[in-house]
Amino acid sequence: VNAEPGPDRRAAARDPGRVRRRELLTRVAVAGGAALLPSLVLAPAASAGGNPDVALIERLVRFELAAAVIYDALAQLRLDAATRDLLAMLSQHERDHAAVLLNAAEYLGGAPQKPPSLQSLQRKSPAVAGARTRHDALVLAGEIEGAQLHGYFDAQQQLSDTKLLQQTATVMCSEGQHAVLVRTAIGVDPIPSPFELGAV
Amino acid sequence: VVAPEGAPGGSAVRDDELSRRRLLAGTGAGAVLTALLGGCGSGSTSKRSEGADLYKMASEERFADAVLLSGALDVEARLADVYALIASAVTGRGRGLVGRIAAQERAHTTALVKSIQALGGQPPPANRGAPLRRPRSTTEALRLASATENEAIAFYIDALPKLSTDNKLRSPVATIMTNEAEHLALLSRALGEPAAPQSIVRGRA
Repeated sequence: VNAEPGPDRRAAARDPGRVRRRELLTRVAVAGGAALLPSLVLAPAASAGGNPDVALIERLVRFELAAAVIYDALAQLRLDAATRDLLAMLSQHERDHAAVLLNAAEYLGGAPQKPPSLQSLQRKSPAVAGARTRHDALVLAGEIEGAQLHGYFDAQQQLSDTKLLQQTATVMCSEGQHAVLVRTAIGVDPIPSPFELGAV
Repeated sequence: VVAPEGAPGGSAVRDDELSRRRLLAGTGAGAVLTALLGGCGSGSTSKRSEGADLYKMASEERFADAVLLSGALDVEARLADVYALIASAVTGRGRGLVGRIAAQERAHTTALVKSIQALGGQPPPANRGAPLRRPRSTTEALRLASATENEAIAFYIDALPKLSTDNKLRSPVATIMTNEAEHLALLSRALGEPAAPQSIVRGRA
């Protein structure tokens, strides 16, 4: 967790137009969410019927479903009620996001997605397998939200379908609110930058 | 040129022709012209025509994007007015929050102005909308801010797909939109309400 603005964030704060894809990928790779991202967000997806919009949405849906599974597992840890409630709410929201996006993707010819198993996620991410405490859970939640925000940030430039652009925008706003809640629970600045890029 | 739906006041750029001339005279548009025509070889008529068509298309997209960003400037001006108005009405921890959010709104404005200038445009004076009524309590003040943040989110969600892909503004503008949603969460919490009551955040125009 890093509440201090890095060079990319400072540059973006001066001018959001200066944000570059490479800088963002670097930032995400530096974040702990890197353990999850390569396989769930950044890996190239099989293009559904050749429609790149659908392929991108399917990738985002897979990450939403994975996030929900992880939040469910984290909520089973020995936690205070407030943290458990927060994780349960995040899980439900991620499932809602997946449902909304999947509905749009199916309309355009995308295939239904199944949530991954917790075991497969634990194999891919030591952070998921090793989470034991409230701090572990919240830091992981922060990384997940940051990675998702990055995914939606990127999607805004890549998508071409108007409806998908607007739906991903509404979900991105929700992920921003999640990030605020997680940062608050961790005890760091909830709004560290006027330009939400996804680092927590 | 049509101002974006949901833009407070509607007319983001009020003198279309004047703004267009300013935009086309901007150095950014000149750079586009140089880039597009420079690669057209020694200049067959068809190549020159193609370059001119591309230039026209590029300048129209830049103009349209500048108009949309001008609408966003109106939204940010409204937010700035609201936070300036409510600063003295909010007491306790809420006052610090209001000051912090207001500073972020100013950062949005600065970035939008720079982006419009980078497109070769000149930001028009902000359309600040109807006069605001001074709130009588902290709760009323926070509710006013919350309502205005909702309007801002709705504006940005509506505007994002209208931005051209070529100018690569969608993602940066989305970072502003998301920050407004974050403000909304903090304002809701300050009001004693759930910070993230819905999984889909559309704002309310």
